[in-house]
Amino acid sequence: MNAVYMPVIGLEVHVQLATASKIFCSCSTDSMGAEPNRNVCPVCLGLPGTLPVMNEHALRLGIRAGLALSCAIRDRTIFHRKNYFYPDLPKAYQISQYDLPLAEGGEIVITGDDGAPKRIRITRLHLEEDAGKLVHSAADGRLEGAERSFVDYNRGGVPLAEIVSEPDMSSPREAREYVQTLRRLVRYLGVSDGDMEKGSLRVDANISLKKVDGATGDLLFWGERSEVKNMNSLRAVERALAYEIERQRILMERGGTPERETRHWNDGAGVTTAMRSKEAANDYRYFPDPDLPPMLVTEAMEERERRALPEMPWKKAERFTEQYGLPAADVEVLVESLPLADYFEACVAAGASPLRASNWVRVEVFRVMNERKLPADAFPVAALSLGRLVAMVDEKKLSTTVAREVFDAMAGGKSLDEALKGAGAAQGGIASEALEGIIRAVVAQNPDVLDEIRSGKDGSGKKRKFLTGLVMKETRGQADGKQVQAILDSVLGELL
Amino acid sequence: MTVSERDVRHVAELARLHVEDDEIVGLVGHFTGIMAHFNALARAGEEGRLPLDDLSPVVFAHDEIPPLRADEVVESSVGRAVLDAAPDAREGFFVVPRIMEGDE
Amino acid sequence: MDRMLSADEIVRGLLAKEFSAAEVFRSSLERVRRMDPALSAMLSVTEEAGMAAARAVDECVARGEDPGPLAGVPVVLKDNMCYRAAPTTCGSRMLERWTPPYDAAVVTALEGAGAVILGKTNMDEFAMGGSTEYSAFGPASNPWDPDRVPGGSSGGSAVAVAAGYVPVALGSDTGGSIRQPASYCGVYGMKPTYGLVSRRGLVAFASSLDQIGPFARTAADLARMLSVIAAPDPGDGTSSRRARPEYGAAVASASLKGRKIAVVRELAGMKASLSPDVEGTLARVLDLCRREGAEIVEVSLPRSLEFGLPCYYILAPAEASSNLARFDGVRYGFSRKERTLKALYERTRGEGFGPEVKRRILTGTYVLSSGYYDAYYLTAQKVRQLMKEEFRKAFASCDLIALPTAPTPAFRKGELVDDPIQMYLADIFTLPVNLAGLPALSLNGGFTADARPLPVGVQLIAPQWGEEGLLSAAAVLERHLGPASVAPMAAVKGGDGR
Ligand SMILES: [Mg+2]
Ligand SMILES: [Zn+2]
Repeated sequence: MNAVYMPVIGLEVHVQLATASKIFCSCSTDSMGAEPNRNVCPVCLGLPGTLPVMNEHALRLGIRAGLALSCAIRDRTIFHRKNYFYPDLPKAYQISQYDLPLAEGGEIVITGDDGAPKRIRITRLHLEEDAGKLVHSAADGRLEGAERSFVDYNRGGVPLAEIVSEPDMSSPREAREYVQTLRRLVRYLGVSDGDMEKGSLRVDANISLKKVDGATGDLLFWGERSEVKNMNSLRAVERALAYEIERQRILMERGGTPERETRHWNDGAGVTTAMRSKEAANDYRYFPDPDLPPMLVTEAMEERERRALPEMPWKKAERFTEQYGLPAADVEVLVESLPLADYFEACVAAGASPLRASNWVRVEVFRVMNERKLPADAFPVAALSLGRLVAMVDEKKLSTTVAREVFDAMAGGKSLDEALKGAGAAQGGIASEALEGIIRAVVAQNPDVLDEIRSGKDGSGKKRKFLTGLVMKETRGQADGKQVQAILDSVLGELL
Repeated sequence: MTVSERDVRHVAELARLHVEDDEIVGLVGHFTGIMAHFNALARAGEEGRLPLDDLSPVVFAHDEIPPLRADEVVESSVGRAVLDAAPDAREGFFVVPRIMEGDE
Repeated sequence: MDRMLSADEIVRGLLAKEFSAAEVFRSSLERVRRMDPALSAMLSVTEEAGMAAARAVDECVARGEDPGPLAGVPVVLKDNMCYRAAPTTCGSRMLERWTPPYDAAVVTALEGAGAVILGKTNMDEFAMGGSTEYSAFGPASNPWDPDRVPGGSSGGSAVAVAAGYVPVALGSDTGGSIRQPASYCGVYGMKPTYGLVSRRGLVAFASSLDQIGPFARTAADLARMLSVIAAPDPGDGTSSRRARPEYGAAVASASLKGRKIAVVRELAGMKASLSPDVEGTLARVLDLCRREGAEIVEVSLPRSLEFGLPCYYILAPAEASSNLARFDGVRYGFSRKERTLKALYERTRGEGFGPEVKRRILTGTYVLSSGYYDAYYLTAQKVRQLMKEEFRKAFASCDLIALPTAPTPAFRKGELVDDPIQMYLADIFTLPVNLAGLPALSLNGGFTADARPLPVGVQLIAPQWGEEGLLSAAAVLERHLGPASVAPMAAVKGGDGR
């Protein structure tokens, strides 16, 4: 009998909500580069006598994300306390949601392994507070010491949405695809920056293997699932799951059975290791937080967030393919970021051809963004200007080379008109005054050639052609050849 | 339901509360006493002597929905003061005995 | 001088320039110095901050400005309310040296009203207890008989008012912790409707039940204090936004004519556990009500009286086990130096908490733990709703409910300290009120006939937000019973003196 092992993967994704202040206090959520324990207050340090007060924006972002995932939004939702002791948890309980989460029963569509759209069901989305951060040593060696760990509560109380999927993914690739799709979505919604490196999007995976009879498809055995933590990049998600599938498969092939356990992905070593959990079963003793009465999600609130929903990325992808006739690779890049997609469409609206606009956005705009580490919505060249520039290229008024120079000048802060002038070009070619000036200069810089023409040695017209070439070079090919001939003739006529 | 020494030790572990061996007997006695009251309540619930079926387990004293807080940042300088008075702090961090990465 | 000034009299005398706030404060301090070595009501005295506040009030009066409704009135705070000028110990070794970097909402309100904070009062550790014997810093004594307990957990605040240190004080009441010591010490004590007074800055015991309230020796002072502390607070999600009246008006226009005051039918079956003094005092007070034109009716509260106790001793410890988990030796307070994290947690908490706190944390952890949650915690939450409903129905046929505050007068020190469950039974009449979120007060209805007479309290319970009805009734009864007496110094000196 030929046994086949089929992975069953569900993901829990924690997304940091894009609020200015923490979920239950007024501390800043932006701790990039901040000294430790700088963005803390009595509330998020869990000092005695302090009380949480819910951040309205965090609730709104949660509703928006829930709606975008096609979830049902609960009109009265409450917080529970999840009780456990750990130094990064200042109150020794996490304020989270339990059996009455904000949103439930949604879905998201990814591209499955067979290339067809695949629905991944969303079990729930709930709100909770983040924990602090444990530091075991500092890179500069300041905090050495094998004996101690160090706690920074700057992250403590940052608002999170935990999005739990059903176990609907069947490969590491699909898991990665799911995370990518979800990340794009939360970015579109303005719900989160989705930055995995900064920890604003974190992934835990539940994975088990089904052993199936290859011939009949009958289920022979379904192993316990393990929960894999600490996957800090898309690549890590894929690698960790691939490793875990292999580990469980080998275990089962050798007659073992995977245990229900939590495993830690070690990115450097490329392995998962069992976490040392002292008590077999965690007993979180959830109960409703008596400090936080129910939150009411009114019709009006839900409607407002529904209206705030942008075109979903997968819809946009469909439309870009149909409306603009763009190849799939282009669509994928453009749709990844909402500001970028909007920018592209504004270029087209300004007159650029979709295909060329797409090229410019994907190549030139991306290049400048990367060089300067700019977000797409802070890009210095207005889409209208780039659209007009690309349209000139479409109409062959400018060569690509010159257009690139114009673009660079605009990226440096010049307006389209200034940039066109600076590059010796103007809309509709080079003005004849400017061309005449160039020609006079070229002639003045080549007195010996002028002498030869004067002495009638240019019967074949080679010398005139030489001067014409110099002019064309000076104008970077933008001058019209016939116009150059005509002006050169008249200039030489004066001088001869 | 009766309470054993094992139960008390398990709960003490969950609560991260060290109890001396000579405290255990007293605690088991206390639990046994209080559980008699609790079990009377639990039984009344189970036996249907109380109409509990349609009641929500979420109870607040009054039904007002609290206002939500505007998403505005207010700086606090309390971190320094708390660190200064903390049992063990260094370089702006609170210090605890070493925890291995991957520990739970 | 056993006749001490009320808050009303202090404010009036101050405005009439009969004396200064500094003089009032000094006289309060003097009384504390003479009496507190015997009574142990105070855990800290904030002489410096208090004197500065008193002088500020005097300057305000000198400038002819309004110094506020509690101008120059010395007050004390139960030591579970955060106040920057002193440690907030909660009567626990865990917080022995912890001074909060912020003030409780009620402290801000008191200061804004011109009150002068004299210090922090003794209490059962983390407000868990009914005798103030579970204080890590030693028990307080009842000023009427120092061999007896003052009640608890707000025992120190009740003593401070009964012994005449201050005319008014704040306590907190989770299951009777204001009313029961008020009864034992012979003063007024009110637990307001849940949500009337902000809990911000009150170190939580059981968040869904805790409520701060005043002690006083007159109904007018009780109203004056309540008017200052009862304010909506956007920093407390459980604080009600409803407008609060000026409670003094209810006292000024007090009347019981046509009001229905209910006795509770089930009380008849509980006589065995009631002291005759308590029964007699309740009857006497009801008689006064009748004479004042009230109609005495009967209501039934079977579930509240049968299941209130288990319900409370499931829910309160459950919340407490979570609220007190933050005391782990990492950020503040008592901490044991240990080599492993687990040892740090377990030893810090094992040594930082006293026996009653440990019992309740363990009970609360147990009822929330997997396998027991449904039978205990969930059932208790549901029964709590039945109790709310039971009170709501009862108030359809009456304005106030009268019950004993406690089954007995103050018991002897040491009598119940090793029998916690018997101690819990002393809360049987007070804790249903917390579970239902209602307001109630205890007033002194008289004294026992003992050689050392002990005060006996009567409890009046009102519907939600019915504080005015309580104050009005108290003011009417005060015309007959007089204001609460200050315990004579002789009673204190005659005791063991500690
Ligand atoms: Mg979570
Ligand atoms: Zn904070």
